[in-house]
Amino acid sequence: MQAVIQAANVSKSYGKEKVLDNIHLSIPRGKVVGLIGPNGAGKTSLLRGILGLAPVDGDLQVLGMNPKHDREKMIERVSFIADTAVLPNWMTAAQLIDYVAAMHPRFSKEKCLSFLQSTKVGLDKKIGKLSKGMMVQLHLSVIMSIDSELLILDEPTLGLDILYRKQFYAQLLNDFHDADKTIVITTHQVEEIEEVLTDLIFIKEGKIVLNASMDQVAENYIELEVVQEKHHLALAFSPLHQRSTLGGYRMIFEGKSKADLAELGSLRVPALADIFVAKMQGNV
Amino acid sequence: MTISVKKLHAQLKREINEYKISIIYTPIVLSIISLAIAIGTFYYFFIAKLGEVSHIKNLYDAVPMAMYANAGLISGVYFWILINYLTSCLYDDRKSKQILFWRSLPVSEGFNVVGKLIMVMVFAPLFIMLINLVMAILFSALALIAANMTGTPMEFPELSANHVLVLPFQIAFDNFFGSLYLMPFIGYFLLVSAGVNRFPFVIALGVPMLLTFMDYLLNQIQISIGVMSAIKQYAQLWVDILPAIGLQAEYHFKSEHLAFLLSSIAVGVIFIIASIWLRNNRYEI
Repeated sequence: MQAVIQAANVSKSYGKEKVLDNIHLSIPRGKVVGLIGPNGAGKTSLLRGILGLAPVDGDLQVLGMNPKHDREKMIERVSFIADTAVLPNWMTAAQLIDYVAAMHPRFSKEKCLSFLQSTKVGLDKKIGKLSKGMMVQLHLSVIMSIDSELLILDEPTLGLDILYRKQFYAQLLNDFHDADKTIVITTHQVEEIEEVLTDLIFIKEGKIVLNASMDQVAENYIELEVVQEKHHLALAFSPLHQRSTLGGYRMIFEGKSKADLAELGSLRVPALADIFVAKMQGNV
Repeated sequence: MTISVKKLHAQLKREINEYKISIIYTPIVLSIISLAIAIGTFYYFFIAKLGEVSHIKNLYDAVPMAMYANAGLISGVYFWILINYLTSCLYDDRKSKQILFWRSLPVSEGFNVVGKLIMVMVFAPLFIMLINLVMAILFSALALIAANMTGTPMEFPELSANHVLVLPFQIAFDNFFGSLYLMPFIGYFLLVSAGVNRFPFVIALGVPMLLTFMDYLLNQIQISIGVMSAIKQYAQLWVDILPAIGLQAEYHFKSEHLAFLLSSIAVGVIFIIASIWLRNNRYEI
């Protein structure tokens, strides 16, 4: 099956600074992919290239189309939230919904209104008068009401309280996602999306440092809790990262034998946030 | 670029909502002020002070006079409103994050720019016509009331003999036809709006003024960069075609007038295409 996003040798520079460095990527249909990286890693540049919002070098195809040249056609099948608080503040919520309904052939006004019923967003209220949380709720409701094949969310829950963030991801999976729809999410709150992801991409200094399914991540990464006495033995296995705990260490290993490490202490699957820190901070 | 009526309707509604204070409310408020002045004037001159039969005849002229005054006021203000609209409509959204929302919808920049052109070249003349029509009726009603109060009833046909109800249509035609000749400016303002990094209104007006001033200074030392002579030629062409825009009977069509019209449209279209290209190829977000 054709990949939803296919990137080969994708690069981008601002002057001498390279923000995307020879990216190769293939995201199949039906996946929920987390694109995670620290600030300045190149996430937004990559997403904007995918959305045709900024030019990139190399070969980039989205749903078989060139995002730059076929943008209007592509956007009928791709929806996105590239930032929070970007809605026009002079419009009312109702005017916004009517506008999108007229412009987007895949938008369902009924669906959008039903999403909004569970929020406090007043349809007659100007967007500029809504709280930041309500603004995000409105934006998400509009975007989720578009029957798109690819949904790209760049920090979608920024500014939302924990209750709505949980509700949002649940809604995303229940009401939007299915086998034909692909979702790409970037966020700093890694722990929040851990349970919804099927695949994971870590990006660091413009390069992809991890691209794997969550199953592969669970298989390849091990966290070992080791006591002080066995620390030197564990170090011999070249951990990816370590941090000290009360009376010992927690170490993360990549691609090591679970049986060998089990002799040194207790093992568990590391949290995504810990793998992220390990990959970003480099080898011990 | 696909243009459907539904999409176009939504796009124009968006423009009107975004700029309703300047484009809708300002001429309405000005007209209300004009009406208030007219009521005061009619009362003072025709009822309180000069309520005599001999002066009633002046009422026939007072109505079109009031119409012209109001239309002139609105047109003068609207002229600046539209320059401000043209110079800001492709600038405001790209200077805020709003552009990220607009670009998440399948609306091409060509469609977007065409929507703004329709606002200036079709909606604005029609809206002004509607206001002028309402004002014509209100001024006429005012004149009829004033005449009746003086005891010398005046009939509506007498007013229409002064073309009171034709005037709004005449002005609408002037505005629409004139906007075709003004297409180089409309396109230039859109291009500035799509291109500059700051102060689009100031730059749009400042650059030609600066060039003119430079040419003026250079002329003092016998050097010309051709700006002033171009302006003179352009102004002469306008003087020549003004009777045509005003539907005056004495106008005689000349082939250079058609060339002027066609070249105005062509230059305007080039600027507009350049604006669309800039919108598609500038990445400030």
